[in-house]
Amino acid sequence: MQAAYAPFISVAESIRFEITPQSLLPGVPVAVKDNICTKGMRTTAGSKILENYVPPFDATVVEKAKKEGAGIVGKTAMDEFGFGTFSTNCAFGVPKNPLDPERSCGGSSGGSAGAVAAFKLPIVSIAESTGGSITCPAAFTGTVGITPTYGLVSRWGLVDYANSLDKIGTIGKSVYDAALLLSVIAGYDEKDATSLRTQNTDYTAFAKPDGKKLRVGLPKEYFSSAVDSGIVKEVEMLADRLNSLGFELEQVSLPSTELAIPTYYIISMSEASTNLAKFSGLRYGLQLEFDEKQNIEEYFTKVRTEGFGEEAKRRIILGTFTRMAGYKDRYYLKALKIRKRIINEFKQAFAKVDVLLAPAMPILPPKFSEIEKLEPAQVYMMDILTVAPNMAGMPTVALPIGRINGLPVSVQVIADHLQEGKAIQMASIIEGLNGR
Amino acid sequence: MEDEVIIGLEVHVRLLTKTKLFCSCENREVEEPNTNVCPICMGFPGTKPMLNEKAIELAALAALALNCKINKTFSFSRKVYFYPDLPKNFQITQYDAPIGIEGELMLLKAGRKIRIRRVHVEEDPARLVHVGGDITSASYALVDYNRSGMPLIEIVTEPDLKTPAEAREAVATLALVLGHIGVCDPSAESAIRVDANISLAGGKRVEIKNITGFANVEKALLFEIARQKQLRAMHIEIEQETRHFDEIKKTTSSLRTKESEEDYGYIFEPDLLTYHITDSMISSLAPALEELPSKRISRLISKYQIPENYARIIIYEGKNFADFFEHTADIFEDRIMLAKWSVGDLLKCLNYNRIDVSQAKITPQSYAEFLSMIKSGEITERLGKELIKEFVATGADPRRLAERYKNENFENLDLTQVIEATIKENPKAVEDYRKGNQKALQFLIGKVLEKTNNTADPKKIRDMLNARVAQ
Amino acid sequence: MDADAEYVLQHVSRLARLQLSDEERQKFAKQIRDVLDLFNKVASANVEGEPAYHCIEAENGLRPDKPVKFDWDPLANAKHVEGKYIKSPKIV
Repeated sequence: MQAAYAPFISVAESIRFEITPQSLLPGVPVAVKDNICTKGMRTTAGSKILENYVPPFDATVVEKAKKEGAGIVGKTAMDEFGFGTFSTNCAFGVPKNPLDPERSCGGSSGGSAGAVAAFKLPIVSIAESTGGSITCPAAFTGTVGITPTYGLVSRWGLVDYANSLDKIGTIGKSVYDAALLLSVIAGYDEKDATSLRTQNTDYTAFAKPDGKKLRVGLPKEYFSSAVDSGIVKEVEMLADRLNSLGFELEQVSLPSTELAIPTYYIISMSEASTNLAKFSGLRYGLQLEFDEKQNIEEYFTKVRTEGFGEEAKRRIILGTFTRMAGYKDRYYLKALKIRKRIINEFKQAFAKVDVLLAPAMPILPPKFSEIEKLEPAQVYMMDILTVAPNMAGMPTVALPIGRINGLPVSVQVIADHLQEGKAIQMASIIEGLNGR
Repeated sequence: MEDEVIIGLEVHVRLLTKTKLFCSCENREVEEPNTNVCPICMGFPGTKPMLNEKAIELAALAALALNCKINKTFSFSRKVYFYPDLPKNFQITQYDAPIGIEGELMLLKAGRKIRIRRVHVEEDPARLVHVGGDITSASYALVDYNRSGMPLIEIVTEPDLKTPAEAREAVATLALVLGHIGVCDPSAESAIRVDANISLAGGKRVEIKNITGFANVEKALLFEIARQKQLRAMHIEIEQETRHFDEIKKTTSSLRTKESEEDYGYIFEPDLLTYHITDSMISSLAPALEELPSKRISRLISKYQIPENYARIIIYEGKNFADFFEHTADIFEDRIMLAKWSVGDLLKCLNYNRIDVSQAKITPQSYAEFLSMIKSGEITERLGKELIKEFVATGADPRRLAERYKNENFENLDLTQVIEATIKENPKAVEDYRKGNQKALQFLIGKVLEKTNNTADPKKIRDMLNARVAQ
Repeated sequence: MDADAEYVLQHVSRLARLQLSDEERQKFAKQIRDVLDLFNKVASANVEGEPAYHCIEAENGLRPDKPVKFDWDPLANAKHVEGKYIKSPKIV
């Protein structure tokens, strides 16, 4: 499967399972996105600048999964530092969609979704989303992805993209699988200040196709002409079906959606440009030779110029610009204020409904030949349905509802902060309708 | 006409916590490089900072001591610049919401208050060793991250200082105030580092970076004023720049840095939160504020009934010295004698050995024992003045010191014989004394003491001399 | 707008310690202009109110002042080492 679809950057040489009768994941193979640190196992975040980096510690999520009897089978391919929508910005090979190898798995957690889709055995993935990097690849591969509330899962050991947005989540073959892995990795961590003090929760308890009838909101901005009409039609049919089953449906509005993309990219690039400053050729990662003629500015510049890929360079430069004195008020600070507004709009919607239902991605998985023709600004627009819930930190479950020409069509179920249970429950109901 | 000098200071003070600001490594100087480090303070990918609660308490305490307004809601920012001593190539510091603003500091010698602009918390960078030259001429550098992440507060004054001496006094006063309330230990190596901004009226501002030692603050500024005045006299424009102070040559030299304030691109530190200082935290700091130097001087005077000038000297020597005095006062009753010896010979010996009392091997117990030996007459005051030198230098048991001293010298010496010999050797003085010259008596007592190496009791000598000469 | 794009490419890339080839510079110039067009929707938006530094606020996450030793080899990933020091190029 690795040979055919290349979901992994590194594969474990041997695995030791620590299994007890109480283990929640006894002997379960877990694929881990390569921006999540694994002690003694190479972690590159898809970047040449970290090509040979071996972390001295496990991320909290990895530690938790191992403690429940799981084995880390490999580190999955991704866009460099998470900078992309198709996993094509990976320094170590591009993962291919197991449903059609000419097409992308999506990104940035492309390998995480690809691994789950490729293997016909119960494998699950620890993935990560900043602006849609779980929903997108789950949708493109027909797998189930859970992006939890910001702060529900510890970020200790996650190689930062944009710290105020990064969320570690899960991808599985079913809502149940993804929910089970989430139950294992969620919870407060004293090593991450932004981690929320929550009770341990068994999310599989919500992964049942029944329970009380939830009120479902349909955000009208997510059904616009920017979304493939075939996808819109599929989602509308699903909504009709839910309605006929007695679910209360209501159209809601999230008016700031049109500003979501630039707002997201300003915040994420501003933060990313500071996070990536540390990669400069001292202590770890790419370290070039230097002599006594070279000064530190020349050396840092040489290492960074050689080590970062093109999209990383673009984002570093743009992100440095948006936080510069003289520009910061216009871009960075303004974006933070718009984020507040976006959060408030979600909160207002959740005062009326339990969950929001919307298409997951505006397009079907594209061919690599189509992706090549896209300019960066066009690529950024692919995140139109995912950046707002990601920016608001709302838990989201993405799952497939059908196929068009053999390619998966997915929805996302969005719930209010820490209401993972509702999103998982609704997703299970939808999953049940499709007779899975 | 003299050019008016304008000086503002940025004083970096290392907080007296057990651990670093954002990780659980120890907050102390360790000799062996890169042994007091973890992935957090070495800026490894995937690590996150966790804020030390004690550091926040101490920073708030410092801000209160400087009469600052406290920002009860505060946060941190990333200040981004590329430099090999910064493991993340950004420093976590406070920008928009420092912990304290708009404070003041009283300078006694200058006789006025200066304004404090802000007090903020930040992490210390790593230590660089320049190999094959100084910072401007080295062939490469070595990085030791032991210091990286140690908790600092930066105290920024308004440009209210007018002379290098005032600048020195301001730094010394800050050290004194913050030392007494337990915010920092001014006696620790590089616990206080100063950046000084200086300009001549109408001229551009020059920043001198990283000066350690109160005297060096004055020296660096004196040099820099002279340099600027000379340039001005030659009608050469003074450049706005950053300069480095050479502690050995006592000169400043230009440091080419390309980043300016506009280039730091501060953003909110997204790995940390917005923090709150509660009223209960502020009230819990009240007892520490009772230790402010002015309050402690008054307390020393009333509690121990010692003269104000003694109390003042004791407090101005810093917290360690004052603590040592008070701990001794708990077990030694003659506080005036204690104070007198402390500000006199004890201080003299500490200064001679260039050590802080905390570095000396003496304890309040041994010091009290030493003093009671004098008080009981077991040793003479003169011998005491001799013995204290070795006592402070080595911390040896004072009773043993005295015994050894007597053994080595004149323990078995018959005082009568010494007096006889002295009388024989100084017939003129004896004659004068017989005629009623008191000075001659003092002279003879001195001679006898000299012969006994100060071990004999002067009172006893006087009595014996009196009796002998009266014969 | 063009002035901004130019500033971004010249000054900002140097600040970020990146050297762009002529080819990259040309390619980036247009791309950055396009992205800045997008970003200017934010710049021209009329927004009042507080910024959201996070999507959801965690509680005072403070750490007790208790030393814990991290057991590791800090130089394991380092290539330029002298004794126990990390070696770095000179400053100037």
